[in-house]
Amino acid sequence: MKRTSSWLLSVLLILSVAKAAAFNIRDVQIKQTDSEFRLHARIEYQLSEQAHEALSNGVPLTLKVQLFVEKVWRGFWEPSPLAETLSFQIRYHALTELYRVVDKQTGDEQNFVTQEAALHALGEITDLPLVKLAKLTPGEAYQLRLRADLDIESLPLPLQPLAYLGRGWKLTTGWSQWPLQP
Amino acid sequence: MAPSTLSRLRIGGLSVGLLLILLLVSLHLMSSAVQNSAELSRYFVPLLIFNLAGMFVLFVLITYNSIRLIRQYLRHSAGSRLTLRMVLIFTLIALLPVGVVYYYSFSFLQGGIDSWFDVQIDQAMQDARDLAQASLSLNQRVWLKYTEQQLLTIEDTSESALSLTIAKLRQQSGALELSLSDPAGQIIAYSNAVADELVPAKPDDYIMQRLREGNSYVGLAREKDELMIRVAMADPLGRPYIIQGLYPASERVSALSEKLEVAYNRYNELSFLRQSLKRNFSLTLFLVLMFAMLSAVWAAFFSARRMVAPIANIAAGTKAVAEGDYDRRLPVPRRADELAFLVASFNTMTRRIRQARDLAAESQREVEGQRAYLETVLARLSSGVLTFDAQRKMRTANPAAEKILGINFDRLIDLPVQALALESPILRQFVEGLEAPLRQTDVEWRGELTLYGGEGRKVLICRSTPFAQPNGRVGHIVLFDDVTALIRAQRDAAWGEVARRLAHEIKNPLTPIQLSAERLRHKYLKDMPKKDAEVMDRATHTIVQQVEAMKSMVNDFSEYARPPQMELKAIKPDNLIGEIVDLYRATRGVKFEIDLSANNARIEADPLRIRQVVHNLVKNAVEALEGAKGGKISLVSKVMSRDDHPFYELRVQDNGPGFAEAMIQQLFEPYVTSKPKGTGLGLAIVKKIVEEHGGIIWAENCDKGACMVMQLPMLLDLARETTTEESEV
Repeated sequence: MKRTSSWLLSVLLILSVAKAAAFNIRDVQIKQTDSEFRLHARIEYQLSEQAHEALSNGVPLTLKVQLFVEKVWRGFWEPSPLAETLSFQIRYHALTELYRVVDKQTGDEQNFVTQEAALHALGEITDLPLVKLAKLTPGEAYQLRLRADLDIESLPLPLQPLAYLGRGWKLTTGWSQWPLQP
Repeated sequence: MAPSTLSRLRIGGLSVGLLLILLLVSLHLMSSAVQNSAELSRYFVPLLIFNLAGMFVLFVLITYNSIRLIRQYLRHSAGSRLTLRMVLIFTLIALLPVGVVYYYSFSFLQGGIDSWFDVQIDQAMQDARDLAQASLSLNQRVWLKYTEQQLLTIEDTSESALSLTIAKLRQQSGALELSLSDPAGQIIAYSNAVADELVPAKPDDYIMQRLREGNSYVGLAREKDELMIRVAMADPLGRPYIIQGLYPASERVSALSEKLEVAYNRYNELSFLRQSLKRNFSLTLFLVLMFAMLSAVWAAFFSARRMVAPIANIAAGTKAVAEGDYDRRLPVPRRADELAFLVASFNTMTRRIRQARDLAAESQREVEGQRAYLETVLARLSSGVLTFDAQRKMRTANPAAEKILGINFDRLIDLPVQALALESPILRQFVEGLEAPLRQTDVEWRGELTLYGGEGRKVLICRSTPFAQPNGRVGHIVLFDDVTALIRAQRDAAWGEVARRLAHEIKNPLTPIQLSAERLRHKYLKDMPKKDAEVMDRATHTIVQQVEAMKSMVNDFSEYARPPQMELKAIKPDNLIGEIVDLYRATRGVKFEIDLSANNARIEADPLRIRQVVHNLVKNAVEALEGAKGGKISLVSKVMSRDDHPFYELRVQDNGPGFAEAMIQQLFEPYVTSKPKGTGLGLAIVKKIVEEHGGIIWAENCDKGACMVMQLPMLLDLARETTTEESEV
């Protein structure tokens, strides 16, 4: 009985670790205004042990959010109305013991006392202008494809081979699609 | 084989050389990616995969070559031992320095990177951070105390009054921002040094949580690249206020802190990346080591094979030459070194050996031809030829020698002459006769040897001639002819002459003697007294009878001596024999068995004389069976062949007592008979007639009884056959 409990506990621990080291898209809301679509999304970033250790030792991590708006049925030659990549950097400053989050698009910086707060702030996409209605064909079925992952190429060079080959660095939400009907 | 080996080596070497160059470039790019090239870093994994794949290909090639080399070594293939030894030596020579370099490079790499992060520096950085934090912490506590005192000084309750108070307090403290809010975070009063900033910086959830738990918060913050001290605390008096202030640190402290933070962060980051850096460098170094090792081993294989290939070719060529293959030519290496000279010399040697072999073969063929010619001549010679070498060992014997001496010489070749004497009595007599001549080395010898054996007396005319052998010593050639038949023929001729003269001299007085005796008888017998008459009668009768007998004898003599005057015709002897045997069938006590299988055989002969021959033979057989019970005479004819010449053979065999061994040789000579009343001329005449027809006849004892064998040449002229068919007897 004790052994069974230990086994169950191990499985739960493994599951919890697996769950902890994952990126998940928790909530997506696409709102249509008069002129455009806007995106509200909440992405849950949970770092792996390796990424957490690197962050704690001052290594900046770059999180990349890729957004594509495209027809559901499209030829490969047709351009997508939206193909955008958002980059955010998070870095720990040991002296001030603050986590600094930088929006690479705007250059805006925010400081957070805790890592959770910083990651939470990173995962909040609020009222992001997605695509102008003028770029879309009325009546056509579109979809939004969304993916967030840790950008390995932005890691320091010595860390990249390990990140490519080792475990704990392939952090991604995977592609998710949401319908978009103008 | 050899050219393809070299070309395969060349193509294989080029392919692997290209692979090695690609691997070298790839390793260089990978090394750059590891060190400092951001552009190449994204290709790190493909480069790594390419390098690993290339090295795997190299490894497979080396493994394949190793297995092949070991198999060749086990099969003792030409050049495999030398190749294996050279590969091992080359590999050792290459790997030892590479291994040493790798060991020290690895040690330097590990130690060098670690030395960047000296423990003391590490501690100094840590201490510097702690010092800065302590300094700032003191500052923070001051500002916390100051903020608390400010909050305690607030006594107003209206929002407008609170706003004024907050603005006044902010100005007094020199804060960048000062705000008063309720516990829910709702701003009650707010003041900012920058007039445009109308919205206060909202504290994050962590601070709010601390405040809700009744704790104060003081910490550092960075606003617009300036170091600030953030203070937030609830009212110690229990009023529903939360005050939050943002105080600037001094410029000096801010600047130093920023520098320290940058340096510390960088140091911390590098320290963290140290292991990754070491791992990457080690991986790259290991790949370089593997590349160097695999390249060295491959180069060892390639060089060894390339160097050994001509030697292996020479070894294989030498083996082929040893096995008699002189047609193999070895490919001459392109480079003009000692190996090329060796291969060219080998080719020259094999060419000359080949030419010499061809010449020798040509000479051999000529010798064989001459030998065959000589053997043919010797085989066709009627004279016997024997050759002896200087040691008097017999070297050659022709068929005529075997026939004359009745010995098969095949197993006697190379035996000394003394050993020949042990083979048979006749050979012993022959060897004894030759012993003295064979000792002479310079004189030709001629002589007559008389041998006595189972076939009777044999007379040989011999000549021994010394001849010089190739080694300078002297051998002997012995030629001999059997002249027994010739001597016998001379004797027969002499007997014929005697018979003819006797017949001539004796026949003439016989008739007067007979007539005189008959006249005496006729004239005086009737007048004589009875007693005298009886004497006269008996005497004259005896004279007449004896004269008749003498006439008969003289007639036989004249018949024997009569010169041949034959009337030759083509006849079928089987028919003739059948007719003659019919005359004897009535003979009592004798049974005839006739097997005439040569029905169609024709001979050219005088039918009267052949008839006489057959009469004599059958009569002889009948007489041999006189008085015997169950007498049986068989006559068998058949066609036989000797040296592609057909002949007719008749065997007349009886089951009588046979011939006495001593008589067989003289049976056909005149006056040789075993019968009380025989003249001894019957078989002599038979032989004479047979020989006049070109045939031979001889007597032999069979299993039971005596046998006479007659052989006559057959007629081959078909045209004549048809014309003479009608004239057959």
